[in-house]
Amino acid sequence: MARAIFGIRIRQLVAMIGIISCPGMAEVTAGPDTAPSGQLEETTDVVLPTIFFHADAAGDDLFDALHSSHLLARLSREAVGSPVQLRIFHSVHPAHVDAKNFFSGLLSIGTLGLSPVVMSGEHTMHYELFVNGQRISRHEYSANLSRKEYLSGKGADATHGLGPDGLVWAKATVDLFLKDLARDSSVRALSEEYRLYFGNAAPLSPASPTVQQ
Amino acid sequence: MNKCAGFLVGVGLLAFTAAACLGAEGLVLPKDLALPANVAVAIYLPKNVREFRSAFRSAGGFQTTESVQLGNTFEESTLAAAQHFFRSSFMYEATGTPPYGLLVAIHPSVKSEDKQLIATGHYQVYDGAGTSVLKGDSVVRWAPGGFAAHASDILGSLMEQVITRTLTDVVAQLRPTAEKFPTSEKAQLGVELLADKDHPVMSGTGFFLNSTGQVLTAAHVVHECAVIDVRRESSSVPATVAASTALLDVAVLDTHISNVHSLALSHQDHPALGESVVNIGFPLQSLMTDAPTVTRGTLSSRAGLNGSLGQFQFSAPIQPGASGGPVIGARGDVLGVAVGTLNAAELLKQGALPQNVNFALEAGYVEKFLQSKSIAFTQGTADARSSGDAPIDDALPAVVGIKCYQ
Repeated sequence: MARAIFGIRIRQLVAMIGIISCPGMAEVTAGPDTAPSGQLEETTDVVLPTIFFHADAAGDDLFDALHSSHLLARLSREAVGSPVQLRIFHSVHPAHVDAKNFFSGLLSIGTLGLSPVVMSGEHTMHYELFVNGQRISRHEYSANLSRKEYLSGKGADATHGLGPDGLVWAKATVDLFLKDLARDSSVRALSEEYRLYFGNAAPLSPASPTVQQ
Repeated sequence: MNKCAGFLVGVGLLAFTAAACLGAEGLVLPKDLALPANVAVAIYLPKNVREFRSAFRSAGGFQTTESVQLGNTFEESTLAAAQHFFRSSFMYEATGTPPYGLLVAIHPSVKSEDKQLIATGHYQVYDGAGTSVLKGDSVVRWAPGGFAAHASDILGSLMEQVITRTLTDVVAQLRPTAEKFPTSEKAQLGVELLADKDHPVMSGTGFFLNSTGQVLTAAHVVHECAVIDVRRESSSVPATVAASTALLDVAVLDTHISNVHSLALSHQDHPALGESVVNIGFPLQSLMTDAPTVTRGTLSSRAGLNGSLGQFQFSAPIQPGASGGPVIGARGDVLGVAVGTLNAAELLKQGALPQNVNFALEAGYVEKFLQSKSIAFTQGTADARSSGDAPIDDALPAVVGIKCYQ
């Protein structure tokens, strides 16, 4: 049993060291396994209040695409007092170290970082909708991505660890999410409740973080 | 009030400083014990613990590449650990738990003592018939050590070790098998029997709405409670949620206390700016006695924060535990229900120190909610405006403290 427990911890450590030591350039070498969706279904019967947008760097790039939809037309970075919050973040489950990854790592070290390390793993975009701290909806979209990272690379990664193709995939998840959101029974229930109390127009007011007492 | 605050109090003091002596020392299993054990096990964890996430903690090396670093929830970590011990394991749910041979209820907690963090998992194990077969505490200590560690990472590791140690104790002491602990289709334990009634995960305030003993409070005070206690005049009665709305953040509780004094909701469409208000609450219930606290102020703005719905701002000071308390106007009726305040700690980082910027849901929206649920309430009269202070004596007997246990 102890071996199994420690085995997990060693894998975690390897994964952490891998990520910490490879913050540089990233490039996808294999396409995502989730295809971009087709035309988005627009729904006009679902009306949502102003929604506070909270995302990590990868999710932040999706704001414009989300905001241009009918459903999330009231998405806002400033509405800190809104009871409804959309949280988006990106996560990675690093794949197990295989021969390709291992030898590319050795080669990278041998060439002082000039040769890239091949990093692969399951990337997931998480979309979660909260109402006053209660999560009412959760949608996740995953893809297996491989990318090259340079140990010698410095500076911020403009693709937020996704790589250029991964960034395209992440943006494609917006359409999937909007379709799922429009079909989500809890979102429809929220829309009906919002109409019941506030009609179609939400009263807006002026900003700062709050805490529930 | 953040449900996970209790865990983070101690951890926060040590965050970002030193690091981790995080090991799994002392995990001893009999050599002849075959694992995973052939028994179906349900695991009960309090809801706030189940949903807590820690960074970098999971069997798969889960992590994000940017600022929001979230690991698996403790529920996921617990199930991942349990699969090493039991052939079949799942979380206990208030309804719909599959039949089990053993039920392991774990209540983890963390405290700071002598420059150490001590994580304790108080556990109790029941067989399929609901008989308690084992109980104890598993303890893991953390002391500053060699390398830097994030607070949530330390917390995550401590909690995971507490759960692993608990499961180790269970299999070492019970040596469970399907024959010894057969799966039982009958008599599952109710969640109220599994809750830790010594340590509420949330406390708040409420007030009687009608003479049948229904209490109005903030929905976040009673969210996901296994047991709710309503405290009144130094006694307490159990309560259940009759209706709730997350959007407005209000809920109604049934207490079945009859002939109680209730408060009337304000008849005014929009309360007057500058009107004298009183807030009655039961704040800081872990520190204070069971007596209500009264604070005075004014209705300082008809609007809440950017994006808020149906709220007004008031200046009567409030503390954690005041959520759900009535904000009473000069005529003695309820203008609104206290639901939040500005996060002073967060604003202080930005160089601002807010004072008495608190928010309440307008009574008009409470009325719409109650009408939609067919819940009885009384409404104040549209008398001439009073210029005096809001009355207190009449209101006090109608206000109650609320505690939520998981």
